[in-house]
Amino acid sequence: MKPYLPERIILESSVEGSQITRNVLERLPGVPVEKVESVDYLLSEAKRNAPTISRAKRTLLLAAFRGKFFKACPGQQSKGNSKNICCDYFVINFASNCHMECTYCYLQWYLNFPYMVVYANIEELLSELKETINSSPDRFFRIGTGELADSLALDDLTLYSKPLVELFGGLPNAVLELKTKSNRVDNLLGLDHRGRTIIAWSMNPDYIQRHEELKTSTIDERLDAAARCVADGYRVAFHFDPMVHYPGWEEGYREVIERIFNRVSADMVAWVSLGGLRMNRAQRDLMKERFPNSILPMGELIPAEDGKLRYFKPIRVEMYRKLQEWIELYGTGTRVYACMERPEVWERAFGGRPESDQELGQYLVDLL
Amino acid sequence: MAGLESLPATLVEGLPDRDLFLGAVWENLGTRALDPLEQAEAVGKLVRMFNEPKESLIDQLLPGMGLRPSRYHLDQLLSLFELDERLKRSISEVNLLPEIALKLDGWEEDERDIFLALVKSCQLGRNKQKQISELLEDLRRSTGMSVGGLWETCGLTVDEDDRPQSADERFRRVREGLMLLRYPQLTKHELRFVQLRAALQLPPRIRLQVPEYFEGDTVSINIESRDIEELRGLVQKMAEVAEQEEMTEIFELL
Repeated sequence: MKPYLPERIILESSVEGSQITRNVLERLPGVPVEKVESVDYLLSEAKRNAPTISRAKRTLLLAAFRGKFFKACPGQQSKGNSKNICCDYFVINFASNCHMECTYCYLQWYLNFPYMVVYANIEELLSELKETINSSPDRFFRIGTGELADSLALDDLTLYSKPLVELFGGLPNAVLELKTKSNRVDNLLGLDHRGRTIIAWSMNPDYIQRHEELKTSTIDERLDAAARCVADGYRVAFHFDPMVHYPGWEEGYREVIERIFNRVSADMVAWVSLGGLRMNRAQRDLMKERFPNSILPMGELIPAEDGKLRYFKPIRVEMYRKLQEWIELYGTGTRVYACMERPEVWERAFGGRPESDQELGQYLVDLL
Repeated sequence: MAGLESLPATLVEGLPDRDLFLGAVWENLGTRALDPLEQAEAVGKLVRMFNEPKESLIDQLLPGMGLRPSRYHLDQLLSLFELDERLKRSISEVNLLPEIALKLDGWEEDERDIFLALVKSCQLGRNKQKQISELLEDLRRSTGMSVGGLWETCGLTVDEDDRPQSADERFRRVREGLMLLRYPQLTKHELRFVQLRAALQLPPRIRLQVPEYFEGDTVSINIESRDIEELRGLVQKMAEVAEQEEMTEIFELL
């Protein structure tokens, strides 16, 4: 993975004393820092100057997040009237944006604010998390940090993972999932995680990684990192999301599944998720403009019930079915689920479906 | 004409051409909305001839034109200003959409000819222009073929106008041909559904539909009847239809 090196750092004065701020500034000594009282003007500044998306990411903002850190997964919120089955997942947004350049990334369209942001008020994040989880002792939470940012891509700079992993190590009814396309796991090794953190990698065949997941760690680097985490006692997870339908997809996915289970024992894999490529029209148009060589917008994508463009249903069913077969072949017993899919797709691909989001969530945590 | 014998006027002398031009633009904007080509002309001249700073145009002129003050919109107008004259004429003469004209600028001359002929002969409106141009753009990119090559592959002729067919029929033929190339599995599914439905020989008062793009798990059956006798007959017919193989296959398409 290409390391992140911003051209400037904008520091909101309210987080000047935060440990996260200190971590970043110590590790980026040569980068100019502008201290500001308020960051309100930055959005209009960014819009007026309209820097390209890649250019805007060279500015790193260290600021305080003033809303609720803890939220239901956007997948659940965006279901609308669709019958899609979600996995009862929660997210905490410790950062926003990602310096890697996956052609399909929804953040390029979704984020209003174009700069890289790290929310440095970690004390508030940790106390909100503790309070929320402790206030519902009868339920079990699966919580991720990888919705608006890669969980570990900036961890070399922020060291955010350390206090999070340690916090979850002491929580009886929650598990933290750190999702990444990087191999930045050094900060995780040796922590007292007590099995309450799962390190997860987004996976695709080498061909897709090379052509569509720009500036990310290679698949081999991700697998090396996964093996190191397993050696340190962590469970790991893999997300084939987005799955891409391209000439040679069958061999590509079968091969990467075989490689995963050659490196990692199936009993250390918490779950594997499958999700077909999806996007809305505006994102597809933006992709065509930003990445004219990407093959992804040329797929047989049709408007689905939730308004997103998805592969035509028989294509999705075939891909899910085959991937599940290969996962069963190479990693017998691994729990597999589909992300944001229709009930009849579940039935056709997997031969059954959960009755509710909660049932799926429960199925995933049963073995933890 | 207004019954006035005189009008107060101020004679302005010595103003630079840039100020006179900008004054004229604002005067026009005060009385009417400029079309995209006129907007492009105004912005293009101010930038290219008078070296007007882009920032002032973004902040002041674009909002005056009813556009968002962004560099993107300014750049779009500048691209339109520099557009090939023939494409500019097509915008005003055959209502070619400006955003599509900008895309066509990157096409070969003979490719543009085919598209413009279609727009003209079928009098394609906004949505149809967008639909066909998007299909063509995608297919040019994914197959590496030219528009002429795609036309040939779809069994269309460059001189489709020579065929005795209505504008609607021509548009339908073009759209179907391109859809089959761009969305082969979906189009085959749709055609199969139409075949199966036809084979059921449903009476006109029974309508059978599948969800759009087959994204759903239910077949919708609509029965209209004027009286109870007719209803009994239609329900009986539907019961027979439910036993046919074609009906089973329709459910399997979902």
